[in-house]
Amino acid sequence: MSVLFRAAGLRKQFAEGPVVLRDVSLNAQPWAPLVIFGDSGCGKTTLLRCLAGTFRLDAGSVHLDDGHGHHRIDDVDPRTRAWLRREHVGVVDGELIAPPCDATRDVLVQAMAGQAAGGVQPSADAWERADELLARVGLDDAADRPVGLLGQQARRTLAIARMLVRPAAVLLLDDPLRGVLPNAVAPLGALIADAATSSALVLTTTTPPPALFDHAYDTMSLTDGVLR
Amino acid sequence: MSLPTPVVQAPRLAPPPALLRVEGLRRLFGPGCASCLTSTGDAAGTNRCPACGTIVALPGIDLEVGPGEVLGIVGESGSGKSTLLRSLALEQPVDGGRAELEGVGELFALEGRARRDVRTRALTIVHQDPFSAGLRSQLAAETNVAERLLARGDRRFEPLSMEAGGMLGRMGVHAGRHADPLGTFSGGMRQRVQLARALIRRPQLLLLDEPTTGLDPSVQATVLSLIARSIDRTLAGTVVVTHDLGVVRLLADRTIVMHHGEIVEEGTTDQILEDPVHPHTQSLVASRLP
Repeated sequence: MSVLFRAAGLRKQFAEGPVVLRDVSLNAQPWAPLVIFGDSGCGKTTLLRCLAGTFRLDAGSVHLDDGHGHHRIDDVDPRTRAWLRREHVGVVDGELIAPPCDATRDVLVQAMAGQAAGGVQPSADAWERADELLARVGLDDAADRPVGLLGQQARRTLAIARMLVRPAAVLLLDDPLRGVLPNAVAPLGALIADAATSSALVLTTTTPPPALFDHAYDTMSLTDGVLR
Repeated sequence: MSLPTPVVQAPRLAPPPALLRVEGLRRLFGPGCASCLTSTGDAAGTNRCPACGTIVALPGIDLEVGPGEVLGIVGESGSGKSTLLRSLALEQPVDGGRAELEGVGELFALEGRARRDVRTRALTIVHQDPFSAGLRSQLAAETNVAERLLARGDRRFEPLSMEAGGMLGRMGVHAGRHADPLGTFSGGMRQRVQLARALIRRPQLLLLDEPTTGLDPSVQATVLSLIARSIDRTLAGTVVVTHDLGVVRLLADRTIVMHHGEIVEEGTTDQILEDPVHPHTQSLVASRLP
């Protein structure tokens, strides 16, 4: 069943500062992912955080539909919003959040175990799949290293890879190929394209990278708080 | 070999019913008077009643915890967060309100054996100080954990020892130390034993009271990692009280902020940390170390 993620009339202003988003509306659904590009500081991250519910909206609404019903993500009680985020909306908009002593491989294995965590052992092939993914994104040498000792690019690469091992109904990725390991750009682009077949995907980027535009994405640009 | 593409299910657009539902939880320290509730709280800027001197620790708290959810509670010292947790752990009496735990019923109405049974089976609390949680320094680590199984009615030594030892192993306590008295353990290792004891009966509700406070940073990271792996994200609920925003950032799906006994803000944890609205929340977030 197709999942539709849409936003209508989003407006966001921080305190007395400039209006960052003005009447922004968008749609995303599986097979029709959306790339939003724009210059640094144009409001891409703010838009993604408004879509995720991290930032409160001054106006507008964000909806998740599955054909049978829908939630307004911006207007549900906090428990429902937290549940939607945990179960259905995946977000990568910053640094990796994981215990610094966890090994790189364990971070992926725990993500694969997902809801089965809590004393339940990950599936037998989880370790093999984790190693395969680490090799694909150039982190195989770091498999046993604590994530607290990883460099910034490696941590960023791991954050994106972790999100993609268990894609949610909606994926919101903030410039996912920026700041990752150079040899991870192409494989992560391919993994994001794979995820777009089953997730409603919205991603932002400063410059449209070929690794993403090889795949058929809808594109919009964000300028002066307006999405075109 | 290509990685299999995980199948994404269409969302079920309603959260499961609450596992824990708390309504009107009230706790006063003092005689109380008619003006206690109206003259204290966030707006009044104090939780001490000016008329009778009573400390209104909790004026009437409402909250819910869903199955698989981790709820963080943050606030400064004296905000009422630990009183709230200890009330839910049935460690102290309450002066009003209800707490319904799925499959158990009204927690505050439980007495005697039923109350003790729930405290060893359905809900457990992990304290900052392991000895506050009933662990005994002169007993072996394994015995401290196995006590919870004795409460279940098991009496055969070997299965008890194996189960307790297995849980200690999962918490990273080396088998060579299972028989050592707890008093010989470091703070971090004691916390591992406490976690093993808390989790061995797979509680429905896990309550964590400042679980990493007082540990040195490297031990803190290890204990947080253990907690993150041990939390049941399917059926059980977890409530973690902390003054450390880094702990809720790592563990909690949703966070509530308490001030003068009241909940002044609630949201997803990233919302609380990135877009705080209440002045007290803004002050907590602004004073966070980088």
